[in-house]
Amino acid sequence: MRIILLAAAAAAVTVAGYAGPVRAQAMNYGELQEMFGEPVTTSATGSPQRVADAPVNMEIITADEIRRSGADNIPDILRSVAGVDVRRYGAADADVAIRGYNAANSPRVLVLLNGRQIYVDYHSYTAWATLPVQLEEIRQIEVIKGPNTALFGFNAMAGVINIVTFDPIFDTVNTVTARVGTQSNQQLSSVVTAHLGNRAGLRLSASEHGRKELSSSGLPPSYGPFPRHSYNRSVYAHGRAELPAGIDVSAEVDVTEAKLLEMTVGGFPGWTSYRSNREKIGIGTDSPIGYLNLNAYRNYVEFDYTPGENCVTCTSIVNSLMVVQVSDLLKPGVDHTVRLGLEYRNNRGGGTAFAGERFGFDVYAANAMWNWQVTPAVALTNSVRVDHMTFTYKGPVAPTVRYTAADYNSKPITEPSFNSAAVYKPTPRDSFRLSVARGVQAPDFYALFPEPIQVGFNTLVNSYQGTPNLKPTISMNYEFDYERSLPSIDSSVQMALFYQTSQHVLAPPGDAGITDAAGNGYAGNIGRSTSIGGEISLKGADAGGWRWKAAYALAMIRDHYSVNLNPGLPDSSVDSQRGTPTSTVILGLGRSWRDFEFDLTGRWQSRYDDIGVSNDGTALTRYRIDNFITLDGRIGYKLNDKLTLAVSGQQINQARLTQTSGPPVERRVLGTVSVRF
Amino acid sequence: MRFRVLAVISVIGAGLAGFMPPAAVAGGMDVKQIRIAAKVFNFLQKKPVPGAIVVVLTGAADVALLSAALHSLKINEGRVTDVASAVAVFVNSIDEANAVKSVNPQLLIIGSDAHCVDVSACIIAVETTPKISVYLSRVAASNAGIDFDTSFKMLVTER
Repeated sequence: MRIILLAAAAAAVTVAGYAGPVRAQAMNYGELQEMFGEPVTTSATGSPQRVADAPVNMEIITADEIRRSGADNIPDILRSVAGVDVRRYGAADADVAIRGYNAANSPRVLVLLNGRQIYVDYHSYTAWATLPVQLEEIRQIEVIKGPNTALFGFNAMAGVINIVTFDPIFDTVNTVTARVGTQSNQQLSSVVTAHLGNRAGLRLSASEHGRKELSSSGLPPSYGPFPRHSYNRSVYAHGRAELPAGIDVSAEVDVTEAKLLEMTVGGFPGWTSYRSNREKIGIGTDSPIGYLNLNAYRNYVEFDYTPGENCVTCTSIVNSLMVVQVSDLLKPGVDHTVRLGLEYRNNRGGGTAFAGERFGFDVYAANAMWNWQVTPAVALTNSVRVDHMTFTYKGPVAPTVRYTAADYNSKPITEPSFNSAAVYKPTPRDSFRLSVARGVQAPDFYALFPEPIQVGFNTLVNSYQGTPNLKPTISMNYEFDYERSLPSIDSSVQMALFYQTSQHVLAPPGDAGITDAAGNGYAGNIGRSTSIGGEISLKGADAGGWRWKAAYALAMIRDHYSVNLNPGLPDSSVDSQRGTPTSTVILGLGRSWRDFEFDLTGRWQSRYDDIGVSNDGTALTRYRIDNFITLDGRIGYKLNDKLTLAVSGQQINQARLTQTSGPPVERRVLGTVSVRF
Repeated sequence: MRFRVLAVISVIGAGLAGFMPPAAVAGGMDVKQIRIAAKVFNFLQKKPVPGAIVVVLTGAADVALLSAALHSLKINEGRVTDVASAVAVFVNSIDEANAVKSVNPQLLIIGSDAHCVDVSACIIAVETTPKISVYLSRVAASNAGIDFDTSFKMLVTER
């Protein structure tokens, strides 16, 4: 009867259903996050996932947490993540590592901006000061602990940090932010978003940031003299358009400049100038065979080092990277998700530091991911990738070097990597994860190729030279994770236990204990290292505006290297065992009250040794860094919907604190005015 | 186009249980479910045009809340007699889902019980306890000619 009634009604009405065209399908992080009440990510497998379902150990720093940190740079924000080690060597220079193995020019963590590499392959590190992104335009920072080479390729060996910005179409960010503070800190930045209907958007940001460098008074003469001020400036444009027929097009362009005191590879302080520009284009569309995506980007970084204030050689090094990625993401059955990908990388070095040499490598890679929801409570994820790397070197080699130009055309490297994980959720509140992963760190340009012109740091050997046919470092990570939500105390607890091995650990030229009769220092594979540890953290927030965090991280490393056999007389800057603080404790408490935000974070870390240049600059020496506590805090006041005032401090408990072999880190206090329009 | 409050005149509901106040009906969506269900429309591959009709069968959801949640989509009021031309219907049960489907096989049928998706009666079901879960019936969606964004399908539980 009911059906007859309805059918009669239907006859009288014209259907006016889904008349809209097919829309493009860029991931709407904001809507999905609101829908599921938790952050979503693509950084674990390349497929969109709720963080609780991700088959890797991941911590996400949200836009709110970034604001409340009071920090003006990303490394300082990362200090609140258990298992992340941050070393500040200069006012704008920091090195970030995950689960130990930190060092100047830390090579083991791959840093990405919206999935494109920021990591500089020449010396295999991240020059954080060249990041073009402003904190106000970051939606979230995703920190993956453990290898993820199977998705991102070489160098995602100890972890990945993916910085995800707001979307030019879905999100609107219009801000002007001014920061002033101690050490003559002055920063002015702005983010502007323009929408063209609801199908196209463009976000532009720009920043100029200057500050006094850390004082090197009392430090070894090899530290200076350096200029007193450093700066970084950037312009960044991110656009996206949804074209007819469901095609999504995006583009990113950025230009940055920076000049700063930096601890360079091997523990030598240098005054570094960077100029970089990067371009990326992406096209995606849904098809009968899944969501097809094409990304192509180019990174151009030019930098020069001088060991003091005055340019000695005035030569620059250029690293140009071009990447093309194609992927297909499909769900062939309700319980199966598959991602297939191909990638090509063209990586070249050169610059005026070289006499016309051209060198670099090409990488051809294929990867596949399969996620199988075996039962409602059990999911298996397997990712596998094979990278084939070929090398080229064209140019002269100094006659004193033990290798010829032909030698430097190393044999190709082919390496598989994988991530396998089983996730078991016996209850909606509990999640167990068992994972094993193989990560790969490729040797970098500095380790692989000769350097005919030395840039001024050859104080320990006559020259630094690469070594052909180096093996990549291979890491294996075995991990057990457990997460539980505790609604009775508005919290969740996260626990991880890991065991990691690193084979064929790479050491840069001069740090591998390999020299020849001519006094040249070479790169090399120096042995293996094992690490065992874990993290436990409790994080929560209640309806009354309180928020809290408590975390402990443990990393115990045992080196089996062919260098640094005499702890009192270091012969290499690579000393993972003594160079990693075993324990770290992080405690944070915050409260939002009326229009105020109060946040305080304390961090304690145990002692470690850092290796740097000696007083007379002719040898390496071991610097014992005692355990220390830092307190960071922020008070914010929202004057109205458009204007927010804040005072924040980094290391507010100590005026000067020796955190590395570099200059002591100084207390910083910043005042911030943010205008939204 | 101004948005008008969704009217609830349920022939099915009248036939089954009369005009019960929405909030009093067991099995109807709570506030959280409504908020989440409204977001589902954003992930349709073919978005409903302004003025498209959504019908809420009696007790399936609080009409005022849903009206507010759907405000930005400019979706119009629905009477049960509009089911044939509606784009979506909120239902209380499998029976209701099957009934409206027989009238308009292209409906996005949304319920609050995963079982409705399990039997391919509903296309979408939203549960919020003990955790937020969105269920999608691939068969029912295919039969209705409805598809969702790939990212959405990766994040929901397909049945």
